[in-house]
This record gives sequence, structure tokens and C-alpha cells, in this order.
Amino acid sequence: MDHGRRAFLQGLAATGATPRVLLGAGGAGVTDHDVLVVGPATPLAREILASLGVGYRGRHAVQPDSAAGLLRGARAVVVLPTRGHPATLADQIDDCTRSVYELLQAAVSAQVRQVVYLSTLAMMDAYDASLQVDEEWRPRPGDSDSLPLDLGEFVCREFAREGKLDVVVLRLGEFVAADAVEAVRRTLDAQLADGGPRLGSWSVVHIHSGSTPRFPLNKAARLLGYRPRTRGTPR
Amino acid sequence: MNVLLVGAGGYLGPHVARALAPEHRLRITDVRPLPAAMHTEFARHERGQLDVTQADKVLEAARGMDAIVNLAVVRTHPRLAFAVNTQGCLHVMQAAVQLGVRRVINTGPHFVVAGPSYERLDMAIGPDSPPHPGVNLYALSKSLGQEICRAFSERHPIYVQDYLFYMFVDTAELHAGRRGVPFAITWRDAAEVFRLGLAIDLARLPSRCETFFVLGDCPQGKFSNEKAKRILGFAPRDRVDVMWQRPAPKD
Repeated sequence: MDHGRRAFLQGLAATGATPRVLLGAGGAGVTDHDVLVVGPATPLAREILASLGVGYRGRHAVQPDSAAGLLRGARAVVVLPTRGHPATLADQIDDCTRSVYELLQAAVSAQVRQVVYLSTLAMMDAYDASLQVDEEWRPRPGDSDSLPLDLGEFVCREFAREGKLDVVVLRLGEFVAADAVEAVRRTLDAQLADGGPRLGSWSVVHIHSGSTPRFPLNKAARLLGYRPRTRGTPR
Repeated sequence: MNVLLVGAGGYLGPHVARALAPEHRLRITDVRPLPAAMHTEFARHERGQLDVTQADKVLEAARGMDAIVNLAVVRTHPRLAFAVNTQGCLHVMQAAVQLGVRRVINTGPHFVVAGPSYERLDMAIGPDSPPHPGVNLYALSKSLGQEICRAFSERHPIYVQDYLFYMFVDTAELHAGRRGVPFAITWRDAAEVFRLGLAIDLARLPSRCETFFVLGDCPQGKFSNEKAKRILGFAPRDRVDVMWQRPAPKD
């Protein structure tokens, strides 16, 4: 795995383990655009919350177990499904399977329909670097660090398949935070736009900040209007 | 062959042990103490307790084995279902990698592959369809376990056979009018497939991860056992089709 994607996985993982709730941007009171961010209190999670801006109110639950009570009234859930680092593969798989399953069951019960699941492009690394790999290619995580997130996508997909939730998976490659945050915000805008969702019940979108043609961004541009804004050093 | 049986104290385990015992040296385990009858019947084989949720214990139990057969299952308890059905597969595969065990047989229900989106709509459903377990706890947690097996087999020289079942019947139930779901098999025919799976030359498997529907010759044609017949040489002895024959009219 290259440095950027490893940094993504480790960046998601850098957190304390104590459940807690943070309030993000926006005003007080329940609005039609309450968004619950579930996952470690990483810089990325904080930036997502901070970037929601006008029309949104963000809440944050570090662990899915503490999220169920915050789902009432929410319109969307953003899932960053990795616990503290270092975690064993078994712990990470538990986070991405059982915890995500329980969170999504709770979302269904609370009638929260829109889900954004942050995953990783590292699950496509097994393909030869000379190939252009888009969202139509089968993930090949093997037993690498990206296996838990691939399993998390599997869980999400079954909820989408049964029509219980609308899920957008953002597979993040090398990215700068501003671009990842922008992708999340654009996804929420699309999911929660007046006139109904444009994304359907299941979408996978590759997101990164680079200009490399290995992972084309055509789908991100078409569905979300996403283009990398920042040409700094991806992390 | 030295064979570790995990979760062998359940419904299917004793039948599997009975089918394998004459040809293999078994290490028969379950999270609970094995029934007294199993201790008696399999006295010349190793027997013990093993919790598949404990990675270090699985590793210890797999030492010296040529194959691992994973029969462990939890159907309804949310935490235990994932711990056993999903993480249990992780522990089995990690042990296989570490110890160089090349043959793993995993098991599960038919809806590891053929969940409601297939079963409600389709016919001639085969085991190589993309898995659609749906969100049923049992189906999804088992399907995730199978995905872990698949992922490991792509990186390591381990051959995984996944046997999927649905309805088991005793031979005494094979009578007209019994009916049932169109994915039925007798216990002894189900057990026989494990003997075949241990005997098959691994080079004859099409890939390092193969899924098989294991059912008798059900007449509906809704699910197919063709692959198990073609690759494993499975030939059910018992005619489950009689369960759908019309009962003789009563005088």
C-alpha cells in the first residue's frame, strides 16, 4: 500500500476510545438537515463537521454504539468506520461489520434513509498500476488493511439492495482534507436536495486529490460535480 | 488426513464425524462439552472444547492438522452471530495461513448466496451467483465470513470449499406428502459431501474458493446441486423428491 492510502487508514484510526458526543456546525434545534457523523474524532471527522455550513447541523458520535440515540431527527449518517490505531484486524472487522450493521439497523428504525460510507481506494491496489481502475472493477482487498472496509461496503450494499437505505460509498485515495470534505458535502447536497435523491439506492464513487489517471474521477464529476480543488501534497 | 472439526457438537457435526471417522484422524471440538454419545462413538479420535471466537485457541487446535472443517454457527444473538459466523472464519483462515493448512471447508445456510432477492424471484439458482444475503443477521454474518475466506484465499495458497445447506431431514421423513423447502437433503447425504471434499485433489477445484449448494435431487429446479455433482462427485443416496409426491388417498 502506498504512503497516502496507509495515511488515510491510519488517519481514520487515530482516536480515543471513549464514547462521546460533539456538536458541529449550524444552529440549535432539529432541522431537516441534521447529519450524524459516526466515527473516530480524527481531523477529518472534525473538518467534515465544520464544513457542513448553512442548512446543516452536524452531530458526532465516536462509536456506533453511542450513535443510536442521536439518530432521531437526522436526515443522513456519515460513517467513518475505523477504531483507534493500532487495532487488530479482528477489531477493525468488528467495527466494519457488526458495528456498522447495528448502526444501519438503528438508522432504519429511526427512518434515517441517507448514508455516506467512507471507504478506501486501497482495496483496488492489487490491480496493476498500469490499468485505469474505476468503480466497475471488483475490489480485491485480500487480507490487507482494506479488507474491513470492503466488508463494511458489503454490509451497506445489502441494506441498499433491500431498499432500506440509500447509500453512497466514497472510496478515498490519496487526498487532501479539503477535497475529501468537499466530496462528503457534495454527496450530502445531492442526497438531501429538494426534488429527491439523484444518486439512487447504491452508488460507489472514487475520490482523490491527485491527477493520476489510474483512478479516473469521471463518476465523481458526473454525479457530484466533484473536482479536486487542492493541488497540495495529498496525505 | 488430520482433520479439525470446529462446532461439531451441533446438529450436523455428529453426522459429519461419522462420515469422516473411518478414513481420517479427527479432532472433534465444540464450544460446549460434546454429548456423551459422541465421546463413546468417537472414542478413538481426539475430542475437546474450542471456542472459535478465540483466535489463539483456534490456532492451537489447528496445529498439526491437514484440513479444517468449520461447522460453527450462531443464528440469532447479534454479537455472537458476528463473533462466530464472521470473526470465526477470520480465525480459521489466520490459523490456516500461519500453520500452512491448505484445505478449509466452511459451511453456512443457502442464503449466504441466495437471499430474498434471489429466492423470492428466481429459479435455477446456482452457488456461483454474486452473494445476496440481505440483512438477515444469520445470512449476512455468515456471508461476511465467507467473504473473509475468499479474501484470504486470494492471497494465500489455501483452498476453501463453502458448503451451503438449507433443510435437513431424516431418512424416516422421506415419504409422500412430507413436503418442505425446495433445498432439502438427508443428514447422511449432507455428511457425505465432507468426505468428498477431503478426498478431492485440490488441483481439480476450479479456484481456491468454491461455493457449493448441497441438496438432494429436489424436483422443483429452484436450486441447483449440479456443481457439487460435477466437481465433487456428489451423488445423493436418498430420494428427497418423494416428499413432494401426492399421498395415497385414504379409504
